[in-house]
Amino acid sequence: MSKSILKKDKVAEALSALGKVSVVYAPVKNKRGLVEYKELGKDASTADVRLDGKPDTPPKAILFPQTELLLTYKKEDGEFVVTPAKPDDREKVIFGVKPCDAIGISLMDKVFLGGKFTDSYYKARREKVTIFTIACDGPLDSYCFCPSTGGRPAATDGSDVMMYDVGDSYFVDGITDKGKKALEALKGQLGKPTAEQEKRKEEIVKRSESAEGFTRKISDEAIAKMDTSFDSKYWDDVARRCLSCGACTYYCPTCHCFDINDEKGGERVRTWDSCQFAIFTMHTSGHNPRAIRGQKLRNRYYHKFKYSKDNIGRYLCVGCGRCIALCPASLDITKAINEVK
Amino acid sequence: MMSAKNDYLPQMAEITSITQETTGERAVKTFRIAFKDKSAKMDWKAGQTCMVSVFGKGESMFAISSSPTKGHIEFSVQRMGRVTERLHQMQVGDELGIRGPYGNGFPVEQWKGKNIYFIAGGVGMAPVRAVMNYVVDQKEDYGELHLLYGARSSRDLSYKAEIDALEQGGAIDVRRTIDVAEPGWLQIDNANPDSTKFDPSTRKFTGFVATIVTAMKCNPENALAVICGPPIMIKTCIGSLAKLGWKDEQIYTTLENKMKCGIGKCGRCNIGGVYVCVDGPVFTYAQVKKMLPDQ
Amino acid sequence: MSDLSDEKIREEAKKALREKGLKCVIGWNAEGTPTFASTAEEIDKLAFNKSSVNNLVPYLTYEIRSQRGKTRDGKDKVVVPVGIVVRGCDSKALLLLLNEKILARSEVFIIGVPCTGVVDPHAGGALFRKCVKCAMRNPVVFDVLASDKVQEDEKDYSEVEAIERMSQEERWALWEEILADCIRCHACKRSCPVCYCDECLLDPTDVAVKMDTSAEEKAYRPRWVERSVNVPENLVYHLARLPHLVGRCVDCGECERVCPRRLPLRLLTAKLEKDVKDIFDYEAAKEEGQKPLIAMSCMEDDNGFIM
Repeated sequence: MSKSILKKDKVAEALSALGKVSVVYAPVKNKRGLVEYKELGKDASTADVRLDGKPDTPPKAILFPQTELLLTYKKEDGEFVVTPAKPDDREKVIFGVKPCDAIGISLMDKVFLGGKFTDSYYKARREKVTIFTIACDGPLDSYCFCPSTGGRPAATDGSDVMMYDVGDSYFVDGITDKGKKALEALKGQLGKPTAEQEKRKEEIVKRSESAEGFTRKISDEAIAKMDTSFDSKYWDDVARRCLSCGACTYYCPTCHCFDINDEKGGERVRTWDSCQFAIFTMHTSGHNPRAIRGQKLRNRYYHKFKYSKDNIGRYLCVGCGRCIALCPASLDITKAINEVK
Repeated sequence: MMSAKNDYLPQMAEITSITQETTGERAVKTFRIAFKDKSAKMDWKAGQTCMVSVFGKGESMFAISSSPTKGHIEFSVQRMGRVTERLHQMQVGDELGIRGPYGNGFPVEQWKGKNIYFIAGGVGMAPVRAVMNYVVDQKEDYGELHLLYGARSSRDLSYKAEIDALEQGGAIDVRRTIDVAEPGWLQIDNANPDSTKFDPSTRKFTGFVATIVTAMKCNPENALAVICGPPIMIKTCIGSLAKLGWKDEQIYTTLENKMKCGIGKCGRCNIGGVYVCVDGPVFTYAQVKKMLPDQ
Repeated sequence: MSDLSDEKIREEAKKALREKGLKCVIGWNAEGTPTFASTAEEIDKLAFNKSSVNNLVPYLTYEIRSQRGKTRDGKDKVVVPVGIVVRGCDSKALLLLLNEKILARSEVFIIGVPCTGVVDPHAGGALFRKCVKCAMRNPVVFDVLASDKVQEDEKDYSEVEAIERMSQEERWALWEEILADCIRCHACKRSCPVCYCDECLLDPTDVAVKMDTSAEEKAYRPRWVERSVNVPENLVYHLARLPHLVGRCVDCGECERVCPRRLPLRLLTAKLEKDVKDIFDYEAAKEEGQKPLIAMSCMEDDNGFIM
């Protein structure tokens, strides 16, 4: 059922209909005013869903939880019994995703599913996830800069179903087979689009292509300059006010670094980690190749804009701007790169 | 081949022998393991690594220090921290988890017909031992073999019996060097390696590894060098070889970094855009020169 | 806060830079971004307005402590003094560090700015809650003041008192609910001016290991808090960090400002500060040369909160 219309006043009903065949995550405002993805029917109801604006957290944690049990080990009759954990592989729909975050998921896919090895935990979850993206019409706030990273406000990469705000309704388009299949559950809520609605959708797509309205940009020249500024003292100057708190990495849609530890109770646990934390790269010997804040910050920016381009052909940054909005020290990746010396 | 499905799940193994290579605060022990499941097998290339699980303490990545031609898996462990301290307390029969092999290994096929200089410092001898034994076991395919092995003192040299046997067997021309003079170990001036005249049959020296590289005049003609050891040793040895006319592509080394996943996902072991766990640990110096190192 | 104070800040900073050979002056620029000014031109960018929200003292601590050490001949390295612009709350934290002898008075040049409150970017232009009724608007330690002192208020503890009236079960449920949201990014600890330990036993991401640390030390170091993020571990982190702030935390509110989860951490720090006043009749960083509370324990202390 491609190319249909979902009236805004039927969204709650649609979410319930999806909820009959899938677990549904959607953006919900929490007690402290942060909009984040919550499991409907468990931590939130369809009435709490907020589809306007950019969620404060990306949907990253649904595919890559902050704390994840990998395996358990215990001694039985003098021998170790090691049991792998079973990842949460329920059918899931993530609803109300923004194009930047959808691209973020497709990049996480490249990291966890690509290369020589496949992360079986991520894969088990990913295969069962369907992404419903609501396109933006221009920047959502002053932090957005997706066009500078190769994205667009109505980009479709990583999405299974695209939705476009055409007034009192969403124009709905099943992009992938997975998306088309998911839409079958909404037969009762979807309608036929009018010519006017289709036209509005096309206009959104057109405006998106031309990247209208984005004041925050990173220039290609500046990014290219990074090729020769690795050894510059500039990075120490930029990082001077960094607190190494890791908030940027935790809220980034594509930051994927993690730690693995054997914790009490016989559990081997994977947890989010941050290249900004003090001992991230420290060898057991005490030698730390990235001990200084400038080196850590430089590593993060280069990972997002240079190493990833060399390795997977695309910037790892999606231009959501959350790291800029969140940084307690007012660090700004766009400004830092634009002014690179 | 190891379980292809879950790359974080180790295969259970038990320690079948432990050899104390050196003693002291930073002692080295070599562990040989056998998989508990007798049908389990792991095929590896010299230079590859494996992630060893000490349940309750964590995991640590080690170079597999035995050649695949020997048919058993060995790794050498220096006592350093949480996982290695526990390993050093373990006995034959104790259980470990093993996952691997990881990394690219040495491109031994490309080395056929060449003379090889194996240059190792300290625990760097572990990966060198694997590839050196491999090459020795296929001796007809390779040219002249040399080993230069350096450590702080003669007590810190590992694999003593094995290297003595290789030397006596005539397969490899072995030279050893230590930092602080001991009787019978010829002192070479580190500041001026060419100043000391010595009998070419001398095999025991006192001097930095790079110093001996210069003094023994490693010949770049149809040759390659494998250098493993502390970063400063690698750097100075490459400097010495360059002065002797060696090209960057002729020099191989292994790099190391802190690792957790070992499979290129956790983002920790990168040097620039290169992940040491999956893209390395073996690199030519030409490749190393192109990297963006932090330190 | 007016342009007049900007002028005075710049004038005094330039003067001190020249006369005292300061390494740099740490202040805010007009957008509120922490700035390290080491030339006259850079100093001309310093300003103080409603966007000057950061507590700059942690940067001062780093700039000074990173200079310390021994030269090759075993002599103490010379520390070049550093200048800083501080509001009232910042200055109290700085005074605490001076009283604890973490920083020496001669190492810092303090430009104080009396403050009538700064704006919370998440509250649509409104002041931070801590600023609405503030008892520490005027700097308590300074070399120069950039503007006239302002009227201070009686501190408002009503939010803390509301929690005090809850039953123990209600309070436990409240904190479990709040701390379930913590992601253990440690921004609170990193931005806290009085959390200056090189190694924090509650932070597994920051461990002081050197090249000569023994294998035993590394192997047997206890892990007080696991890396797993869940309510029990989060409770340990926050509730164990607090007792280390008794009589030290000045409730500057930086922890709450930087928290990306918007946890109401000042409910803890204000409570701590209130308890210290009520139980020990002590206020951190009240005056120069004040003894730390921990150093003043005596038999007459009320230990009722323990039993």
